Amino acid sequence: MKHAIKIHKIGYLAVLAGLLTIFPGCTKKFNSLNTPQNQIVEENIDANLLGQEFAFAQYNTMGIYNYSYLWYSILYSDRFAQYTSNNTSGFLSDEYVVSGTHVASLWTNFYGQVAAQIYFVEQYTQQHNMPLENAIAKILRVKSYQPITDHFGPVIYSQFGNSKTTVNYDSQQDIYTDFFKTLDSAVAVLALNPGKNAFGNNDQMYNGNVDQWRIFANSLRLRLAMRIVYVNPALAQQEAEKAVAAGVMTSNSDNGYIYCTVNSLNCLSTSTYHDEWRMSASLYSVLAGYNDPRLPVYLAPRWDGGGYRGLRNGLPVDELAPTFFQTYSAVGNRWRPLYAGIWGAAGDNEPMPVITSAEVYFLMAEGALRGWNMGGATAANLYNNGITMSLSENRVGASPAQINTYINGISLPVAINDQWNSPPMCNIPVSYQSSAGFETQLEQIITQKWLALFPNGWEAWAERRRTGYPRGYALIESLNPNLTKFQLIRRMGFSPDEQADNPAGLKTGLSLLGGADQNDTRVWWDAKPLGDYPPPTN
Amino acid sequence: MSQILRLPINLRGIKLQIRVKIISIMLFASTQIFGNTLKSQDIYKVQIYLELKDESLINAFKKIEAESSFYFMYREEDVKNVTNLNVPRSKQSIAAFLQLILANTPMSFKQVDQRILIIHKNSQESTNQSEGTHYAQKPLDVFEDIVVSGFVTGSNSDPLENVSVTLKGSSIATLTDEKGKYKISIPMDGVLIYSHVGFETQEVAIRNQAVINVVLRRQISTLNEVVVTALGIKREAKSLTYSTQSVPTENLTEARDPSIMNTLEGKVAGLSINSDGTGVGGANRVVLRGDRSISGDSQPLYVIDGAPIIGDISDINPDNIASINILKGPNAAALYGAGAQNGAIIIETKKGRPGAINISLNHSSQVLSPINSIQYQNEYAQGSGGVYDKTSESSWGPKMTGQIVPSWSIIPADSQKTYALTPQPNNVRDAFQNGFNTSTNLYASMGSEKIQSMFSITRTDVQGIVPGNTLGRNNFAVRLTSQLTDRLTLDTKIDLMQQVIHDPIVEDISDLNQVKQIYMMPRNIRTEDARNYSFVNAQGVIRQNFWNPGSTYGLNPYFLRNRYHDTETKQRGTAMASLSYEFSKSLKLMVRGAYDVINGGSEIETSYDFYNTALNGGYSVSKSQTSLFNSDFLLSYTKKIHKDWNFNINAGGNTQQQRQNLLNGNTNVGLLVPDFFTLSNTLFPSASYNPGPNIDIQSLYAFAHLDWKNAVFLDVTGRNDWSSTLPASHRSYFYPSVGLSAILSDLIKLPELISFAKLRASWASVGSGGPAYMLSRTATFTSGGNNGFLELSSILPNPDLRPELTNSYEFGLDAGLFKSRLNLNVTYYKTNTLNQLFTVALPPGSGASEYFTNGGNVQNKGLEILLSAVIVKTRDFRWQADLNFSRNRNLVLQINDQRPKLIIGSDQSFRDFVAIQGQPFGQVYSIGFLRDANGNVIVDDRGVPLNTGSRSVSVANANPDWMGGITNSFSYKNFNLSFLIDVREGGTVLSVTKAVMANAGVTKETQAGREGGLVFGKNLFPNQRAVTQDGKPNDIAVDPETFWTSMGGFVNPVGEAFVENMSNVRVREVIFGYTFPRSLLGNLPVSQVRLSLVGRNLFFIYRASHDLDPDISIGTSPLGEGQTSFAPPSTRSYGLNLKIDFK
Repeated sequence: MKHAIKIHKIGYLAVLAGLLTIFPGCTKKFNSLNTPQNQIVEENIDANLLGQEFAFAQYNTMGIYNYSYLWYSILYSDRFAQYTSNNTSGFLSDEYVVSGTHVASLWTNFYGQVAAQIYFVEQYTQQHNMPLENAIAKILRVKSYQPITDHFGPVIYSQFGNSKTTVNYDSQQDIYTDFFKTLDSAVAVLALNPGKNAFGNNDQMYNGNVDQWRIFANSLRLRLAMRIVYVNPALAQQEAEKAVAAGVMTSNSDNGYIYCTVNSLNCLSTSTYHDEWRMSASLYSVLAGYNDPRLPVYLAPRWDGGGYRGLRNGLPVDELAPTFFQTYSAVGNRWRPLYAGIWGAAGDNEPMPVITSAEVYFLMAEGALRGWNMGGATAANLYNNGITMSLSENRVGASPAQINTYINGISLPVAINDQWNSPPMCNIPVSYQSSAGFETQLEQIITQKWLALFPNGWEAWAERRRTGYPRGYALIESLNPNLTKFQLIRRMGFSPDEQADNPAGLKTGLSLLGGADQNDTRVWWDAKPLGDYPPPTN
Repeated sequence: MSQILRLPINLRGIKLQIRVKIISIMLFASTQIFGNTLKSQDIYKVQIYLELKDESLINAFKKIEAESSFYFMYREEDVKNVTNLNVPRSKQSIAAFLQLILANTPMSFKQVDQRILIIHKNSQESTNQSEGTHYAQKPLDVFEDIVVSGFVTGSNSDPLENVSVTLKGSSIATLTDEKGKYKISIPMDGVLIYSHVGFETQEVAIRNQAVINVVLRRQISTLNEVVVTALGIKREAKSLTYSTQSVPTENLTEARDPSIMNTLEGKVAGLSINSDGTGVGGANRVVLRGDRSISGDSQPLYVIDGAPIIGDISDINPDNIASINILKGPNAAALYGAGAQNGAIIIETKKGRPGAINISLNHSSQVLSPINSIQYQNEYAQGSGGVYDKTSESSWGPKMTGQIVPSWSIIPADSQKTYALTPQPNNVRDAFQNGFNTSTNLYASMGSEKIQSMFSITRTDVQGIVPGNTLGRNNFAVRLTSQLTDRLTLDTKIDLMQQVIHDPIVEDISDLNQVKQIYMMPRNIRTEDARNYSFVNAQGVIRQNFWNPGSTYGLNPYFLRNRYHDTETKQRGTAMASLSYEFSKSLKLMVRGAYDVINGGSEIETSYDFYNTALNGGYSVSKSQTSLFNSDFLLSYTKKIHKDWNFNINAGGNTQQQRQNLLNGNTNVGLLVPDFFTLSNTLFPSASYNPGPNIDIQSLYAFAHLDWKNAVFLDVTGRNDWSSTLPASHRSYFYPSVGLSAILSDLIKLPELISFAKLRASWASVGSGGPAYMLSRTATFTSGGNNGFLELSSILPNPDLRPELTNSYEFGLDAGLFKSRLNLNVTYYKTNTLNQLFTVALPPGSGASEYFTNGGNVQNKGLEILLSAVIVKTRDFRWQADLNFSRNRNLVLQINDQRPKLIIGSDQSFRDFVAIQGQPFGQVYSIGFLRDANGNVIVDDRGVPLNTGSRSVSVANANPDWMGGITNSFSYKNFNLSFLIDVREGGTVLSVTKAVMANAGVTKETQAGREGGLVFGKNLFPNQRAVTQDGKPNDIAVDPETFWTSMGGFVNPVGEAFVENMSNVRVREVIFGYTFPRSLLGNLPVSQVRLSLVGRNLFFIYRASHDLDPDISIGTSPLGEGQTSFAPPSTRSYGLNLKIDFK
């Protein structure tokens, strides 16, 4: 029996020991367990990590990741600017059909990724007394919201970040007014701190150089001022002159480029991989006609070995031939993917231009044409400076002699050997026609600006809407019930997701729009009399 | 041993021979360790320790029995008076001890097999056996000294024929005759066992009686069986207060499927099972009683041997399964806590049994053949507008009449060639093949009274219907149960699985989906041309030969098959150890630890020239680990408090730790050197490591079971959980359940017709902590810029989250009619899942895209009926039918006040999968036809219907109206035949397959009207009424190309035109088996051989849509419901199964 008792005791102890071993039992570790190990918790973001957050927002203002860039730049504004045209049956954007999914993606990506980070950085720097960083975040905010309001008209701006299920929209007029005010306050801070640095090399544009940011801000002000010239000429002149007086970009060393790295690629390069589009007939007609040194940079030779050629915009699906991808030019090699693919050279991971001195000179040229005080220079001089800046940019690298020949060129855009026998896109030469009428000079300035802006489709489409230039080709076909093939699409419709996510807020947007939520409704600054627009070439 | 195994070795071939030999060696080894087990042991050789101090002879026998595997047979009166035995502790042979203690008695002993007979000299006149004489040469009948006879009847005094009467522990047996009479001669005293199908087995001690009459109680087949309920507690089915259903396990191994869940299809009321579309070894989606979770997947909890395991069980070895019991609702599963709100599937694996060695070999071979059901047009060639175009991916070209056209090939040598354009009706069929599925299991179990062991090994090889898609799997399991002392029991198990799947099919509209590329081949592509899928170009790079080079959607299917490879590996280990201690007969404590771990691996090699996905090739490696550690204890106390009252009370606790991580490395945008697959072969290697989500849950629970007169039962349970996923304030939550059942037939007198009737009702509430990481806003660090990028999560945390709750009740009736020839179970249930944890969309302008919240109320109610009937029963023939029926009605009562409609998921171009208040869960919204006020479809001036432009029309919902299955089993002598037909009625899906294929003009429906056109609403979609924009009836003829390209395609097709009905009736499983009679087996060392012919998924008896098999879904998340997209053809399988049990 003794033996038996002993065994029982052992068994009892074994079970008890087992029990204690496997029940560590407490909830102390729960908090750390419920925090993802490979992520940073919001409360732990400090001044050191703020730079990375700024960097993310800055890069993504250029078009978030490959698909989004495709969806809102290549498929839409680049088409509307007639930089590129469609050769894939999968997309109808070139026939003015805007996919709700794509618009929703643009909207969600901007507010979800870009605006949210800028908001955080702005709030944080405000609360932690970091005035320089705060000023730069403000400039980035203006820069990033500008194409968004230009796309839609009224958008969410002042109410952003309210964490509520309803967020009201602001009118474009109020937004632009606030843009100028915001730039005022930012520039004031930067002007008091010359030679200082903010964000260091997390800033992918100027490595944190505060002085260059100030010049950038003034140049941005000039762009914004010109945008509203047809709706508020007085304010436009006042802001433009203020910008020039405060100092804008004067050389390519001032250019605002977002530099790309292997981990943050050129957005266009990540999309060319798909080869779903070709260069437009408009771009080809002008570049070929002017013997433009930018032709072999912007366009790649046809795969079939037939030189260069651009494709008309707005092709009906049944007229698309799979051979088009071989018989029309793709984008220039420097925007190809970074890998030497099956079809040729590797891309260069180009920096992405935000504002360049070429654009600034063209803005000043237009100001001078309008009789504003643009530092005393004439429109012709400023126009020639703009061309010089564009042709001497790294990506083109034309010699002074080439530039001189180009500036004085009187050749005209060419007709295109295609199935539509397309005539030349327009009939203006490069050489500046100081004695021609206002509209002709404006057409020269804006057409050259369009060439210099490439591949910035957002800005080029906005300028085409504002001025009507470049006049471009009529579409082959428009499938949009509100737009003929001779008309230009004037805005993007609001995101369909807003109907589900923010119905009350969307109502404020619709009432501020002052027209139907359609692609032919003009945004606030789009105010040039319709009769003054040149008809597109057909 | 090895001699025993020689026969099957020779039959099964060389490969197996080696394995079997290894196993026999292992068995021998374990035999040595466990000792005392083999029947050939001799009491003169087996040595034991024994010590007797003033003890009775009976006690001495008991001690010897405890120390060895022998047992004694004796007449009580012969031995009861022998007491005061004293033997000092020593070690000797059993025979030596017996000689010692029987020395001064008139008794002697003899060994017969495992029995030791104690023979009184007075009753032994007929023999001349002297003490210690060796028994082996003498025939058994020498020991026969008792003849027992009697009658066996049922409770109504009807005689029972063919009742088997067996002497316990021996092979001595007889059967009753037609009058229920039996007569049996046995050696000495013992226990007789009376058993008969459909009756409760009874044991009667002989105690020197010559006549024993026995009344057997009828067994209600589904009620008297013992079922395993929550926490591994075994209970008689009749005492349950909720609905469970157990599944016969024989068919799992007989009509085998690589995924065990597929073999349950059609057998369980309320259980719906889908397979993903990845081919062999694909995962299952299993749902009990309808979808109920807005953000979760609604799948049940799987519990093996008392411990929950990770996710799906498709790789569990069916050979080791002893029982499967399905606890359908939260009522049954309440004690398991979170996860069990979706029900639980309880599996017990086999254990070794005391006694002789059991070895069996089970082999299964099946042929898998594709059921190609999509109908093609075989008249019009590649091209558009009626014109041949060798680069087209559509078949809107000219009628094929043998005209000579240029070859599509871009291989320089072939590109100038021409060929005759002729229909290729078999080009799709040619791309598939007949596969096979073979599986061999060796199972061995053995054991002594103290230690029992089980060993099982299975090899499975499957070749799918898409060449290259294969599966190889090894399962290996050992289980050891030991009675360490009288009171302490140890149960341990190790179960290992190792699996490799090659080239699983990529699902959905991905261009890497082989099935899509096969289906989309233009109708003139010759198989032999397509098989020339690549060539080496001038630069020495291997290029794809495809009719539309540079396509973003299309690939030559043979190029894809040969130049893209995916290897998926998986190793799974499940270990369990459980220790229980019996303080007394009524008080027990069990402690258990269990660990389940899955190591997954994936390696993807993509060659150059995959235009859309990997122009420059690519290489990706992933490793993942998922583990679940469970430890629990359970203290049980059982007490009879009065002759009519029994109660049982239990208290326990559990901690559960879920851990996972995923490591991935890939070559990002491409390889530098083609076809050299290593992570360093790139400019931008990319790597990521994601630990978690990790979750801990700790619980305490208690439950009580009270029964009155074994006729009224009450269950009460309560559980409190502490979950790491919730904020400290709501971390702890409690939920109870209560159930009551009454066996009416035992309480009141019921009509003769009703032999059994039981009513049950229960109510339960189950809480769940939900997913991890919902309490704080995080930011993700990624590479980018000069120092990296930081991005704030767009999801706002909710520091005030509460646990999810599922409330449910159910009522049921179980009845046996016509002397239990007909059994009926009916259950009505209703569940409401409240406080669901999910995210609600915010306008992005609010600063975040969504926030975590609690809300929602998804209701499921339904009816389940099980009917089982023995239709014919004669001496040799038996026909039984088992029928199950279920209907579930699902309704989203509430989502969130601010958001009555929640988009759970959407495809880029086709549909939104939504939960919307007032509608069933899983409504599918898509673009619909534009209709006028009268519901007429408006067509444009081309005759093409206008559409709504956005996904505003509710077009489909996959929830069936009802489901059912009927199994008919026939047996005649040694033959048996069973077949299962299952039915799914109702439910609709959107067919991406059709939308895309119609757009390309390859399907049969696009053939009509190519010359002359069709009128929508008349001979095109005749069920629709159509008007023109000015309101007149439509009579505009549209050419099919214009029509189908406007309706279909990848980008925003008109979903309403491609809705398919999922109703179908099919022959799910057929088994025709034959058990060889012993007379045929002769002297072979086998005890039973069974050969069966089996078939699975043989054919559809009815199918509403010929183009799809609704069982195949996309993936295993709820989002896969309501849509079908380029799923592989269904697979029909047929073959044979051979099972040999060795002596």
